[in-house]
Amino acid sequence: MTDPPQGTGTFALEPRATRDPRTPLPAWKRRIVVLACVGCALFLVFHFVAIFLFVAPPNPISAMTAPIVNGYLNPYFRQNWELFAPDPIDSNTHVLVRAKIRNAGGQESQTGWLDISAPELAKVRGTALPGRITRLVGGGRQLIADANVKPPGESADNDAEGEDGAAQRPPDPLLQAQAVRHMSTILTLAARARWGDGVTAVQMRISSRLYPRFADPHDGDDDTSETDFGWWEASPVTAEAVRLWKEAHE
Amino acid sequence: MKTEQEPLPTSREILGRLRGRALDAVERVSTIRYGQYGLAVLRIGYGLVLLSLLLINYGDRRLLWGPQSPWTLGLAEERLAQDGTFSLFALSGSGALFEVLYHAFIVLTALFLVGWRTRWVTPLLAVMVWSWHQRQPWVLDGGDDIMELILIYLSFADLSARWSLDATRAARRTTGDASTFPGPPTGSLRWRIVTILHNTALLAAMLQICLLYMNTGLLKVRGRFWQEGTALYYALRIEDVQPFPGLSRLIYDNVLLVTVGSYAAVFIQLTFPLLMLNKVTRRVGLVAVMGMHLGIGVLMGLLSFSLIMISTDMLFVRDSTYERLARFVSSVRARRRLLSQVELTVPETGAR
Repeated sequence: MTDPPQGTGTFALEPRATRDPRTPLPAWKRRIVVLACVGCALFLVFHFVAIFLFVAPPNPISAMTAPIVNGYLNPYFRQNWELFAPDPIDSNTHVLVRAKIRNAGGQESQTGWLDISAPELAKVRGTALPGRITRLVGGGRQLIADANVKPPGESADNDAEGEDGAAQRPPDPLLQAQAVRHMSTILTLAARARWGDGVTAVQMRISSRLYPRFADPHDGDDDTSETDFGWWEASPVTAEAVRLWKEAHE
Repeated sequence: MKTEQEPLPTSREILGRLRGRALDAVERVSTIRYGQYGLAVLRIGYGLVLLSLLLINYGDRRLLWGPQSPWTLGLAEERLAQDGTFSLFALSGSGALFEVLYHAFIVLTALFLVGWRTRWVTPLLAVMVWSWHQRQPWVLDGGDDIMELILIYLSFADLSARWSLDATRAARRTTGDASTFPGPPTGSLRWRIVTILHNTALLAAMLQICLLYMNTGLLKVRGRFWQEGTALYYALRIEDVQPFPGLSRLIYDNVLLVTVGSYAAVFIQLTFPLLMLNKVTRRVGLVAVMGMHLGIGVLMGLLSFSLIMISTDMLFVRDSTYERLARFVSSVRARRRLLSQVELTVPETGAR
């Protein structure tokens, strides 16, 4: 090995230094170096205390400091590390769609249910690095759940305590509207790809199947629940988008 | 029993000594750029993962991040305005601009991978990754999130000191040039400040990873399935992350693997920051998280997440360890070369 090329990387100085670049720093420059170190150290402490408070379970200090911490970390340093936490999910969920169709003669009809999660799951099979297209429907459904969008008849605020007693954030109506617009576009794309241009409205069903508990893994009785959302007007989508959807889900 | 030979130091002497230590530390962090090999491994790892993601999703790019995305331009613009941020991919609904950006992203990632002028390429890549994620935020995972953060931190570090085109170019420029001085230009204030920023960025990346593990461990502790040691069973049964159902079943049907795996995962995540403090536990900890990530990556089809985590964890391996490893590899190679030469000379001597 040759001389360790310290500092030869991107930040190397010009090669032809006229005097030895290793001459000791004069006192005022040394003082700047010390100040820079102290400044960087203070920044690290502040930054990571803020992140700790941001991601820690709710506690008295984070409640007090939330305005400062959120203001500082959002949006570039916001983070969430609930990776399979507090618990991994324990059911498999599918999204189904059905549509109202108006044919060329102006007659209305209604389709049967189409499972639009199945093609995504099929694409995950056999590869450790599946494409992100396999997360489009699942991601849309997750956003609906995160935004706490409820089907008609169910009020959005009746589960103040979540599954594990954790306090739920109050629903954000703007995010809810966005979640619905996103999901209805996904449903419209899937419906148009399957039933053609006559689609006027779409409806979503979320079908959730609790899989057997660990204590009884061969229990065949699956607990299935189905939730039907309201009818949503078909979203304006381009023919190009429908073609891409069809291609991606073949 | 106290010996009377050495008088107790006065408080002034203690302060003096502490000051000396602090100044030594300042000298070190302003003259040594730490983690050069670890950062090279991270750069190459991130580069490979990003490049694979960009190419694997190439056919679906317009539906995911382009003008045809169901997370429409209007929705993206609304959300970005709410968050007070930007995305290059949401600048316009033009399909042509999108194509230019996506292909520029691929080129930028390749340049990052080979370590070409990373001083400029790294911040540009950080902006690009941020833009990409913000255009369609609902198809991401923890790996994407941590890469986005670490790239912001490391925009202030030197990522191409080793195993890069930048390093090769710098070495070519300095060798055989008598007018250059060996060693780092420690007399330059600018070089020193840049070095301090480099080390701060590196430490920030490492602290971020420690916080990630500790936090996700802490959040799991209160989960019922993690407490009863069955979480692995439930995680491996999720269809969305089950590329090899037969293989998953092999593990989730095994009581021993499920229980030990579930507890070990929580334990290693929660204690990760402490394990990193000591040489022996650091090795154990790094091998354990690597095993955990490889398991997640293959069994759950989350290979991009796993490789990003492993690449980032490699920052905790010291430069001296990488150097020893590199020396070992080159000595093995040299020995093999020598052996092959010996074999070649055998027929000439006629000895059979």
